[in-house]
Order: sequence, then C-alpha cells, then structure tokens
Amino acid sequence: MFRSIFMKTLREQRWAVLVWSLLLLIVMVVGYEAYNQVNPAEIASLVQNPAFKFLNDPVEVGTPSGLVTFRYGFFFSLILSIFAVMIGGRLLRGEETRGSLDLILAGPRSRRDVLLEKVGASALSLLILGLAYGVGAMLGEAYLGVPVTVAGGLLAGLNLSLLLFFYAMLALFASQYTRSASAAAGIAGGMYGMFFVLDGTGRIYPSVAWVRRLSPNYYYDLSKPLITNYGTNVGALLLLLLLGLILFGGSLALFTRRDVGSVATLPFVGARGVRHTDALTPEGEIDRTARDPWLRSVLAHSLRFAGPALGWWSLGVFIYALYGAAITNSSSTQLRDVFQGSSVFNQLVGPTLMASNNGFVAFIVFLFIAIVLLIYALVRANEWVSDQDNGRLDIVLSTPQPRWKVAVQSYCATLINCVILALALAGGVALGAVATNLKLDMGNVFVASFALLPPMALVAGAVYALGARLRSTVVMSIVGGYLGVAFFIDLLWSYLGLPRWVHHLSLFSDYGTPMIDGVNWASSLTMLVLALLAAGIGVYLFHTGDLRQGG
Amino acid sequence: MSNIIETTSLTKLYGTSRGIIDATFAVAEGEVFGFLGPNGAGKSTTIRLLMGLLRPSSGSARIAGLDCWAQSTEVKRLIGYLPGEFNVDPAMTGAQVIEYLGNLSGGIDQPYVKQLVERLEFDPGKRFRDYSRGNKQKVGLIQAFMHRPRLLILDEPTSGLDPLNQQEFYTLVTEAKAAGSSIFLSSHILPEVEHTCDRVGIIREGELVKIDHVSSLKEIRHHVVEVGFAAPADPAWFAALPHVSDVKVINDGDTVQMTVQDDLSGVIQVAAQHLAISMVTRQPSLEEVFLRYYQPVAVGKG
Repeated sequence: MFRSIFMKTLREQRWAVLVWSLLLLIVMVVGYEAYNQVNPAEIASLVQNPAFKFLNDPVEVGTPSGLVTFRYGFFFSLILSIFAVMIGGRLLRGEETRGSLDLILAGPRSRRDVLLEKVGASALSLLILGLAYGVGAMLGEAYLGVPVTVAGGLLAGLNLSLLLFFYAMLALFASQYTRSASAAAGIAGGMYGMFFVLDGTGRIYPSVAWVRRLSPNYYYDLSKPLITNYGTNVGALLLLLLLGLILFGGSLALFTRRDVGSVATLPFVGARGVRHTDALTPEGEIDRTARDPWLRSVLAHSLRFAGPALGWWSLGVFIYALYGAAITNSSSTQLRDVFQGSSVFNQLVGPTLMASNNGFVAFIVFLFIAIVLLIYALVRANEWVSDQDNGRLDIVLSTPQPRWKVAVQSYCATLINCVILALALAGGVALGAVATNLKLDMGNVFVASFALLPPMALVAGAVYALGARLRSTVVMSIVGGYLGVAFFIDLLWSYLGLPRWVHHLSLFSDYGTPMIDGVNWASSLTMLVLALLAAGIGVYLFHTGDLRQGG
Repeated sequence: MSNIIETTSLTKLYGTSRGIIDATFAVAEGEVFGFLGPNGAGKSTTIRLLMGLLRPSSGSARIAGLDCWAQSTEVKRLIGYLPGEFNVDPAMTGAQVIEYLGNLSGGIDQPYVKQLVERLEFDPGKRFRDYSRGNKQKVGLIQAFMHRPRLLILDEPTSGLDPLNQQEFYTLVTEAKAAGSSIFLSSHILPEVEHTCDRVGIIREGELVKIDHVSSLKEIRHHVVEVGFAAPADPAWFAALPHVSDVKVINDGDTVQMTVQDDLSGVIQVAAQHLAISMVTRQPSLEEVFLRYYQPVAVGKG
C-alpha cells in the first residue's frame, strides 16, 4: 500500500470507505424491505407537502425505487457530501499542515503527478461508495422480489459518486485559499448548504425555479436511474463531471503556482502573506499578550481556540432552527391533514408527534438537529485525542498542572461549547416562533434543547474514555459509527421489529421527544451519570497512563 | 554536593519492546549533564520518564528528592522543559504560546522574557504554524528558560538553530549554570557537549553504557597502531598482548593493524623482536570514541 501516492491515499481512506460502504449496503436493503410496510398512497400524498419537497424531488414515491430514491438518494447525498468535503479539504492541506507534503515533493515527481494520484485515489474511493449504493439498491430489489435494474443501480451509484466528486473538488479548490483543512471543508460545507437551499427553494416556488440551475444538487436530482420511468439524464451526469474537473483543473493550476504551505492569492485582495498580528515591536507584542484573559488557563484557552468553529456551528444550528420554526405556521395544518390516520407515519414517529405545533417543530427541527449536535460533541471532544496524537499535550503537561486538571478543564470546555449550541438551538426556534406568531410551549423548547446536553456529554465522555488508549481516527470511527447506527435504529426499529431494549441502546431513543413530553428525567439522569462515568474513566486513564509520543 | 536527578534501576518497557533498561545515574546540583546516544537508543524515553509523561515499568526517577511520577506536579515546578518535537496549537502566536505556558506555570518574569526574545532575535507576533524550524525552537527555548528554573531538561536544544543563535544558547546555559541551575541535555553535536557539559552519559539500545566526565572520555582514547614488516607478518604475535584488540593483517600481509589502549610498550617490544620497519599510531577523535559506544552490542564485541 506504500508503493505510490495513489495507493497510500487509498490506504488512508480505506476504513471510512469500508464502513460507509457496508452502511450503504445495509440501509439500501432495509430501505427496500421497508416498502412492504408502508401505504404507497399515503406516502405519495405526504411528500407533496412543501416541507418535504424542499428536501428532495418526490418522483413515483408510491413505488419501491421511487420511495428509496426519495429517502436515501437525498439522505446519502447529504451525509456523504460532508464526507467528500472532508476528504477534499485535507487532500493537500492536511499534508501541508503536517509538513509531509514537503517530503513527498522532495521526491522526483511533479506537483501535477502528486495531485493527480491523490485525486485519482479519492475519485476511486467515491466510486466505491457509489457502487455500494447501487449494489445495495440491486440487492434490495432482489430482496423485495421486484425486477433488478442492474444498469439503473450502477447509474444511480455513478450519479452519487459524481456529486461527491464535485464537492470533494470544491473543498480541494477552497483549500488552495485556506491555511487549514478544516477551514476548507467548512467553506465547501457552507456552499453545500447554500446549494441545498437554492435547490429546495426553486423546487417549492415555481416562480423562482431558475435558481435551482445554480445548484449542482439540481443536476444530481435530474437523474433518478433507479426509477425506470424517470431514467438518467446523461447531460446532467456529464455536467457534474465537468464541474468537478473544472474545480480540479483550477486547484491544479493554483497548486502548481503557489508556495507549498502558503495560500493562493485571492482575486482583488492581493497576496496574503504570513499572518502577523500587527506591527507591534516584539516587546509590545509580549505586553499586549500578557493582558489576554484567554491564555490564563487550559479551560480559557480551549474555549478561545474552539471559538471560530463553534461560531459557525452555532450560526448553522440557529438558522436551521429559525427556518424550521418559521415554516410551521404555513405547513403544519396541511401536513397534519396528510398524516391523519397514516399508519406509516405513526409507525415512524409515533401517533402524537404531529398533533401540536411543538410536535411539528420536534419533527422538522429536533429530529435532524439531534444528530448534528451529537456529531459536534464527537468532533469537538476528538480534538483532545488528536492533541495527544500530535504531541501537543507534552508541553502543557511540562507545566505544574496536574494531569487530571488539564483533562477536566478540556472536558468542561467541550461541555460549555455544547451549552452554547443548545442555546443557539433554543434561540433559533424561539425567534422563529416569535417572528411568525407561532404558538409554542417555550418551556419545552428550552427543555428539548437542553435535554440534548446529557447525550452530548455522554458522546464527549465516551471519546475521552476511548481516547485515553486509542488514536483519534479509531475513536472517530467507533463513536461516529455508533452514532450512525443509533440514528438508524431509532428511525427504523419499528420497521425492523427490533426488541425495545435494542431501541434503548440508541441515544436518540433515550433523548425521546421532549418537545412534546417534557424532560424524561430518568433517561436524562441516566445519560448524565453515564457521561460523568465515561469522562471520569477517561480522566483517570489519562491521569494514570503514559502520554502517547506525538508525531 | 546533592543530586538534583537520581534514577535507580529505571526501566520502561513498551509491551515486548524495550524503552530503557535498568538505568541508574545521578546528576549533581549545578551540573551540566549531556545525554548521548544514537536514534532510538532511549534518550527521549528517559527524558519523558523524568518529566512524568511516562510511568516507569520498574525502578524510580527522582528530581530534587521528589518522585517523577507520583509527585510530578511538584517536580515540574522546578523544571524548564524543551521536548524533542516542540508542538503546540499552530494557530497561536509565539507570544501567546509563551504567555499561555507562563500562566500555566504560575506566571512569568516579563522583563526576562523580553530579554530572551531580544537575545534570540525572535519575532513573537507570527502564528506558530508560520515559523521556521529554527524559530519554533526559539519559542521552545524561551519558554524553557523564562522561569529561571532550578533544572533545565532540554532534548536536542540547538536543533534547527543557526550558529549565532547556537552561540547565544551556549551563553544562556553558562549563565544558568552560573546562577545555580542544573542542565540535563541530549545532543548529537559533540562540540556542544565538549563546550557545555561537565559529564556525559551514553545510552545504547536502552542501556546506559558509560557515564563519565567529558575530560575522562577523552583520556580513554584508543590508539590505532599499524606496524610494517619486510616480510609477511603473523597477527598472533600481537593478539595475546594485554590492552590489544582488533588485530588484523593489511597491505598484502606485511602490515599488522591493531587497537591499543593506554600502554604501547608491549607492542613496541614485539615489533622490535620481528624486525619491524615502520610504525604509525593514530588517536581517534572524540567523535570516534562516541561512535564506538554507539555501535550495536554485537558489532562492538567483535
């Protein structure tokens, strides 16, 4: 696996690709199996609601392939696009940050060849994911006993792969202008959000349908190869490929002209050299920094340097919550009528969820935001593990700070970040409700927002416990994999006929629906105790074990 | 004079692979101690054990009488530390790194920090990720010296520094020693060791193979002797002599080469008995002395 840059890049992505591929295969088969348990007419009626149409194009949702395309074509394009921007963002910038790109380029190979091999390997990884999606669809069709559309499955996979390739290349392009891989992934992720909104808005408002054409997601939607009567838009496939290649070409042109470790020149802005705080003398710089309160402790420092990322996450959560609450007045009545007597819906989310405005907001906002916030807790806590891997704690622990205190302060900083996100969530919903005169039980809005703190604390605690012995990539795979499985268990357990105790293994099940039911003290306290236990184990293992050698 | 560092049978094993084995040594208060060894010999493991970053498998390490693991917080109040790989949050400026680590250590002497910044010609306004290797090392040195610690533990301190800054570092070490501080440093640069260290410990394959004064190490230099004869020579003539090793025949069999420690009189007598026509002796450099200790055990024995 180390014979070429191509093979090494594939090696770096192998576990993520394997886990996602398995998940794709399983979920697609389950998705087809679930068709037996739904009423096609009800679903077809349901998805005509603007709130659902905003998410995806409802085409032949009364058929197995139509339903699977509506549900999972959208879901996986969303989740895997996040994966793609993470791959694209760190493809070059990750190596540059570590300094390993210098070594790679010290060998007798051109920058063009290096980038070609890296992009080639990533494209292959994304093709494998698309293939898993297509094969999963074929297996699902076979399982359900409907005709297997081999070409349709393969083309559906290719369509997904091309969308992912576009977003990976978008992040690669952005990384030419950023100093860190996460910033590039953040920019590309933000653009995904913008394209998603453009596509959804154009879909539900015919008067501005043209804005959809500005979004690559629209060209992805133009092909629904699993739906035989809808088919594949070859032009759209080629356009996605072309857009991806243009971004790749742009990245190549910038990468071959800029300094390694530096950033490309932004048009109209001029070169951004090495960032210097300002023109103070060295003595003045020392004096100014001495007054900085964010450098007084590990807790303050952790909060300060997580601040920019937290700001973006909070803004995203706030806007989504605001949007979800703001559309409730206009959509809830219609949705409620559609859901009336729907056994499928009742099976999915329970019979009482949509009976009130609180229920509607729980369905539109909290169902989705719950996993977003738990992923945030995972990512944020995993930085602690990553700092150990990179040897950044050696120097902190060379100061007379007890290890347990350093670990506890870091964990507390993560919890404070989680509280800020919960506040952004509650604030977004509250503002959306006030702005649209929506009648909501505001007490439950805050309860539902802050009831996310125990599961977030538990996720972070599990990361601290595992991270005391395992590397960050392994921790990310284990906890991230659990969150993915837990989300699907919560969503599909009734379809799958899973025992209730299995359902309770999912954090999402334990979180429940506090927007309607109020806080479930037993579950919340249990999760809180488990969180403190896990964090305690993490702190204890960190306090008593060897500190990993960085590098 | 009391000891600032004392280790007793200090051992660290990583599963089945070794770190360091049975290391016993002491560093006196006010002493500059050089710690030498090839890559992977166990230098950084020893330093990380002293810093309480690793837990000993057996044995103990004490600094100023305090156990490096059990009382590591108290121990670190006495230490200024520069790790081999100085790594901090890359988004912080040099000034922020210094201030942050200073605060965690209980506050810093601002005028002295400014003095260090000026002496090392360091620009504290840049992000850490934008510094060159040498400038990153300067941040590391400033934060290690800024508390005027009782003990400095420095892992390859001049790595990446230009010659001018290396000289400034030697001056800092001299000043720290004059002020009563002790210094434990690992290094590969022999002139640095000769200039700065009072004693040297050499570690090889996890075991301390030699601890001595730098001047003593120079004194135990070996002589490489080549004796020429008019006719083919027999190495057995010299092999049995005391203090003689590595005897071999070179130059078509009429010259014998050997390594002789200390006294050459026995070799001269035997050479005269066999009508030697030439004799050349050469003293190995200090570097060769170290290399001799650096070699793996199997090679060294041969």
